[in-house]
Amino acid sequence: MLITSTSPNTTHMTEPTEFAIVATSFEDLYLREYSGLIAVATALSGRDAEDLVQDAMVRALVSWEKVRRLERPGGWCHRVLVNLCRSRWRRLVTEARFLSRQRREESSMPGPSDDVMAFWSAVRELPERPRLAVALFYAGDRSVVDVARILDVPEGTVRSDLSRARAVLLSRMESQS
Amino acid sequence: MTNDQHNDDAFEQRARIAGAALRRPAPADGIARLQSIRRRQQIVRTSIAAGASAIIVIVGLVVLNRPADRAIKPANSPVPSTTLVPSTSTAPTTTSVPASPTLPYTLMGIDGVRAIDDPVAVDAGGATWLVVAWSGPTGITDGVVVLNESRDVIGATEPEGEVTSVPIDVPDGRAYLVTDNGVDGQPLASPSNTRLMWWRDDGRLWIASNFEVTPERLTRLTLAIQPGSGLPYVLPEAGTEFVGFSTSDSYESVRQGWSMGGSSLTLAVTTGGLAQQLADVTAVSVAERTIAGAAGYAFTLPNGQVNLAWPTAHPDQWGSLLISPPLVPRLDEIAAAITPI
Repeated sequence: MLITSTSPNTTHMTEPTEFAIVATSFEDLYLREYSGLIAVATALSGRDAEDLVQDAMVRALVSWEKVRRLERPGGWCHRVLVNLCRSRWRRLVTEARFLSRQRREESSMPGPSDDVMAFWSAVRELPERPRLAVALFYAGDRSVVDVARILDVPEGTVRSDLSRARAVLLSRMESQS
Repeated sequence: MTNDQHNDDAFEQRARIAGAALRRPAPADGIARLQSIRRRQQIVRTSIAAGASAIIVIVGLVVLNRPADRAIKPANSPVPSTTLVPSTSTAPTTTSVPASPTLPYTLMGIDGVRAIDDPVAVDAGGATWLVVAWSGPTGITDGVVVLNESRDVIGATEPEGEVTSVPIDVPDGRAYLVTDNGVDGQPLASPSNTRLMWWRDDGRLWIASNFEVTPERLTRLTLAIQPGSGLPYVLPEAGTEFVGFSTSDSYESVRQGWSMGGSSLTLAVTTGGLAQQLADVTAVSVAERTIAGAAGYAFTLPNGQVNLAWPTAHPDQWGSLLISPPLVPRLDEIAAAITPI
């Protein structure tokens, strides 16, 4: 039987949660991806995370016949979410120029400690690409391969961004302490 | 351990904790909220479309009426009753907001089952695909090969996930036999868990899935698929029967979520005939079954769900009921509850 001739070199086990064209339902996708999406949205936006995830998942629902056929529907959702966060980020930056008080707006989400929020506040000061890479890698718990696909950049770029982001964040953490 | 390593480890730990602190499970009513938003968006869109139609119809009536007015309305003379233009009161009937989608079936006569959402219309979402299905000589319980062709694939260009993939020789592009792995990391034995994924040179992705067809035969049959005359593709192989085909162009589906004892059921009607019902065939078993008075099928899926499918009274439309695993022991009772409206 052909399957038994499989060699280890042809076995791919990079993404434990995303099967190809399995009879998965939208509900399965939602329940599976929500945790990572809400974490990425919170990390990147600090507020309105629920709305951003909802927006991304409604798009997935609207396009479900397309999304369910993708190899990595979860990656698609993260890409949509990241794009929404990018748009929102630009709007926020514009707002902040005119309404600096809005920068102090607190997140409505209870739970994360001051230390956690301080970490993500520091991340949000990073340039766009490293900011997205850190959020997807640490908050979204996505692999480097996944992050590269979501951001549409080479894996080496993601590793480099993560490394540089670590250095910047470490330096900020040290200066704060 | 150097200072740098210590710092790196400390950072890594802090970052992981900070990441984990933001994760939380999906809210219980999350799906319902999404469906509600989706429904509202559809209503807004159809209202806008209806509004545009109304404007077109009204403008059309005005334009049509204008010469009639001029022709039949001499100065200072009453309008003869026989020359009355069509009443504009007909306009509202052609311009009203389209009714919400409805399902021609319901679930009744079974305790504890309730609809948790209104029927929702689902379209192809801008995606383009083609599904062509062939069965064994005596029907789909005798084996199925389904070709899914996509032209707007984004993302991966080779098999990914917890799968075992075996490259195969194809005339163009790259192709693999892909089998889902079980929890032990080994490929699942059922042939239904093997599909052929073929990234064609022209950008098309072919995914040939199957029920009860060996990987060798699936490969041979897929490679034998040819463009057809009058049909998108033909499979000139002995022992195969054409089932049908379905495309995203004519795809329409109306779905409704139901709940029973905390588990979900999805009742739907979908265009595309049996081919569309077979589009993602990964069933571990297929059995013929009379459902809602029609000759249908019960598909048992690898994740334990059962999907009942049956032809409706409308040509090309099939009904379906997806039953979550906890409810499968009550399959007979649930199937009997499917009632045409």
